[in-house]
Amino acid sequence: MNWEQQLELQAWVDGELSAGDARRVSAFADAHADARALVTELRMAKAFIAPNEFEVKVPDTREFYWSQVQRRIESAESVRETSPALSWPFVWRRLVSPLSGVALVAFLAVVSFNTFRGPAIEDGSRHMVEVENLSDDVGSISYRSQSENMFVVYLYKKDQDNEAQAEPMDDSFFQ
Amino acid sequence: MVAFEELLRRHRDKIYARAFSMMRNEDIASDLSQEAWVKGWQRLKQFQGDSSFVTWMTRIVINLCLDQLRKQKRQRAESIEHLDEELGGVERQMPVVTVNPTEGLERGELRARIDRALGLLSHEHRTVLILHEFEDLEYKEIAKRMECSIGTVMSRLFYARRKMANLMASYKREEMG
Repeated sequence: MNWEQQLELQAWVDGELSAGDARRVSAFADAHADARALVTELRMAKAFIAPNEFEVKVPDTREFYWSQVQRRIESAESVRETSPALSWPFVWRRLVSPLSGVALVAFLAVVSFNTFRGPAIEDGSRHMVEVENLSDDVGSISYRSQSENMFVVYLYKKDQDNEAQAEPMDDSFFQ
Repeated sequence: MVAFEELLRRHRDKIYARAFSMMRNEDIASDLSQEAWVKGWQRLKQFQGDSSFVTWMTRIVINLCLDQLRKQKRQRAESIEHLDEELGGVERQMPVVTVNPTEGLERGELRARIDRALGLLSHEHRTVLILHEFEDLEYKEIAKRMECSIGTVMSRLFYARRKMANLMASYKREEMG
């Protein structure tokens, strides 16, 4: 008897086979003594296990057990009330905003490096850098001076209206 | 809340017993059964009445236990014996039990022996056996809940039954000898 045949015998005992398969497996069991013995064992195990689950009781008193459940319910409800559910767009925006700031800095670094390096620095047309800010939360102000060969970008949070709080980026990098 | 407390009073032992049978630990069973009641309260509006309340609650505690077992499984290494069981190696060496090892036992003693034998099975084998024999779930449903194939369910159930029959036979031999 191979492994598949043994599992088929079990499926037959459990009533999991189609009528056709059940007839085939039944015939197989009739024809093989070892198959019949296995079926007997499987049926016996099924018969003595199923109706004889050990009875276990909650070790705590009813009052104590309920008080613990009640406390958990109240705790869960108070947490739910104090923390309103965050919508997906809100969560997405919170994740993307800092990333877009980093992306902007990286973009400017690459562009500026290409623009201001070597002999091309004399070419004024190379200073026409396009600055695009895709962030809703972070604003940017750029300042360009061809005479001083300088390009500065300020980043600030839009919800901070006070311009004094806007910190300039490391402008030496862009000089 | 009063009505819910009454439901808990009626069914708390059944829900705790299912958690205990799967986890084999009083503290974890107590924690998970309480968690099941909290979830039951939170999802009470979702209870459609398609099944009885206790069946619905039992499903909740089973799912919590399965989640917990998955977490535990990730934390422990698979044993060689376990791999053998999965491949169908160990049960081939077990002799077929032909004499009923439970004959003549009083019900209390029979249940105690079954519980003792269940405690010796791995979590995976015990869970399949519990879901099939005590919860009366079909292979397909067990596979879905345990997130494994039907073949794995059949293999685990086969091993679990054969192991149980052999353990019960060994207890009988101890009693006789």
